[in-house]
Amino acid sequence: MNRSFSAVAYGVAIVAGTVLFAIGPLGRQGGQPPVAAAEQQAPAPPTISAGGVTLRSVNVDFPDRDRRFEGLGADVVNNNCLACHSAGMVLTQPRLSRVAWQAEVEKMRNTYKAPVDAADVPAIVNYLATLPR
Amino acid sequence: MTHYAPNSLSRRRFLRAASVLALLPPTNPAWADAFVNLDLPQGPDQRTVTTDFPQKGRMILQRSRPPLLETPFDVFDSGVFTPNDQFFVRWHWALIPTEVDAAAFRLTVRGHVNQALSLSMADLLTMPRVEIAAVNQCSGNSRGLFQPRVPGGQWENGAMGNALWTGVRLRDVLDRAGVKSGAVAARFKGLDEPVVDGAPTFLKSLDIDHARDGEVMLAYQMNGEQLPLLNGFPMRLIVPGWYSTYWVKMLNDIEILNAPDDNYWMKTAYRIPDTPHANVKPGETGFATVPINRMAPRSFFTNLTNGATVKPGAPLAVRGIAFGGDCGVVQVQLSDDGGTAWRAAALGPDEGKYGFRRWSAEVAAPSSGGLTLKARCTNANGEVQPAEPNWNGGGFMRNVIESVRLVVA
Repeated sequence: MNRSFSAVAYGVAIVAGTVLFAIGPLGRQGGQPPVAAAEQQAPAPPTISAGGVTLRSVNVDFPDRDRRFEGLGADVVNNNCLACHSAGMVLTQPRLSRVAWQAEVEKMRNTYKAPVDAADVPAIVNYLATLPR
Repeated sequence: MTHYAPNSLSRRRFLRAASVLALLPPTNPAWADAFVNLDLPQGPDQRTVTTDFPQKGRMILQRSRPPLLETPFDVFDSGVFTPNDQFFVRWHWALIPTEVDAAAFRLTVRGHVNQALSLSMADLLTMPRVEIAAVNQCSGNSRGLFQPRVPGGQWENGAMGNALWTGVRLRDVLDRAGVKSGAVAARFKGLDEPVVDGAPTFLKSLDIDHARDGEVMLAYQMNGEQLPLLNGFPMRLIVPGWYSTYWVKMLNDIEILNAPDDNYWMKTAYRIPDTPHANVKPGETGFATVPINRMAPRSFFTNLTNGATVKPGAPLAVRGIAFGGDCGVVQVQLSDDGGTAWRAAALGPDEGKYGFRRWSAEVAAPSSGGLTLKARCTNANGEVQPAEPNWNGGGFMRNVIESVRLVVA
C-alpha cells in the first residue's frame, strides 16, 4: 500500500501549499472553516485485520481544478451549473442541438432537482447551444 | 450516516475552483498538463491526462467532479488485470466521502428479512472468502464513438477494467439475514449522496434469484489490495457479466424488497431498448425498454493504434484483449480484408470466464498501401460481435467489431 500512502501524501502536500476556501453543499452552506493543513496530517488511521487481510482507513482529498465557463453569458451558467458538476461535463460534450440542450437543462432541474430559476433557463440553453466546438 | 466517518458531514464541502486556480503556484508539477486526443468523431476529443486524483495514477480526465476518469488504452496492453491505480472511475453524485473509517464502517442488511444485520468489515473478513476475475465495464463505455453523437460521459474505450475481486458471496450475507419468502429484489446503496435535497439517491437492484446466485459478491479487495477510495473502498458489489452500473461502490446498505424496485435508477435511467443489441434508429420512438443488464462480447487491439506505420512485407505482431460479456471467450478472429475472411488468433491463459482474455496473432503486412485489421470475439453462448455499430439514445452497450487502420511504409 505504499502507492496509496504516497498518493495521499501528495494530495496533502497540494492542499497544504494552497489556501483553500471551503463552502458547504447546497442547503448546508456557511459556517465551514477553511481546511487547515494540520487537520490533514492525522495520526495513523485505524485498521481492521482478519483472516490475513488488513484494511486501512482512508482519508484523502480530491483535487479541484475546475474550469469556469467563459465568454458572453457565462455567468448564468457558472452560477447555476457548477454546484453539482464541473464544467468538464459540458465542455466534453459533442455539438448538440438547442432542443437537446433544452432537454438536458430540464432534466437537471426536474429530475436532479438543480435549483435553477426558470427565468435563467433560456439564457443557459442559449449559452450551451452556441458554445463553440 | 455517522457510522463510517464521524466527521464526514462537517467535511463535506466544495472547493471553490476559481480560488484554487488563482492561488496555485504555476510551477507545481501536478498541474503540468499533458493532453491526449481521443479518437471521437467530430470532437471535442482533447482531454487532460491527470495524476491528481488520490490513489490513482495516470488517468484521462473526463470530468473532475463528480470524478469520471478513463483508463489510458495502452494500459490494457500490459496484461489481463488492470492496475488498481489506473482502473476507471465513475461517480454519479458529488458528495463522496473523502474519509472512510474501516473500523467504524457498517453494512446494513434490512427490509424483507428475518433478522436485520449490521456487519463490520471484521465480520465480513471472517466469512467464507471467494475470488473471481471479472470485467467491470461502464454501460456507456465507448459512448463518444456513437454516431450520431449522444449526450453523456464522452468515453472512448477505457471505461472498463478487469480485476481479481476478493470478498464474500452476497448469498452468504443474505442467508445470515434470512430472506423472507415473497422477496423479489435486493436493492443496494453506497455512501455517496446527491448534492441537492430531493434528488434521487443512487440505488440499484437485482432480482432476488440473481442476488442469491452465488456469483454476485461483495469485494473488499481488488488485485490483492484494498480498493482505492474512488473505486469503492471499503467494499463494492461485484455482478459478474453485468454492466458496472450495478457494481455499487462504498456499499453500505442492502434492502430486500417484496415489490419490484421502481426507483429512478432502475425505472427511468439506465434503460435500454428491448431490441437485439439494444439497437434502434436515431429518432425512433415507441419501443419497449428494460433495465440494462448482461454485457456483450468485445475485443480490442492493444499494441496498435490508428495511423501507426508498419514495415512493408514484414511480419507484424498483433495482440489484444477480449471478453465474452456474460460468459467466456470461445475465439477471437482477425480479418485483413474488411471482414470477409477470418482466421483465429491464439488465446492466452483463461483467468476466469468473466475476465479479459489475451489474444495474439502474426499478420503479414502488404508490400505497399494501407492495412486495416479487424478483430471479433465469439463468446461461449455463440454470440459474435456485430459488424455494424448499435445505436441508442443512452449511448449504451457498444460492441461493434473494432478496426485498426495502419499505414504501410
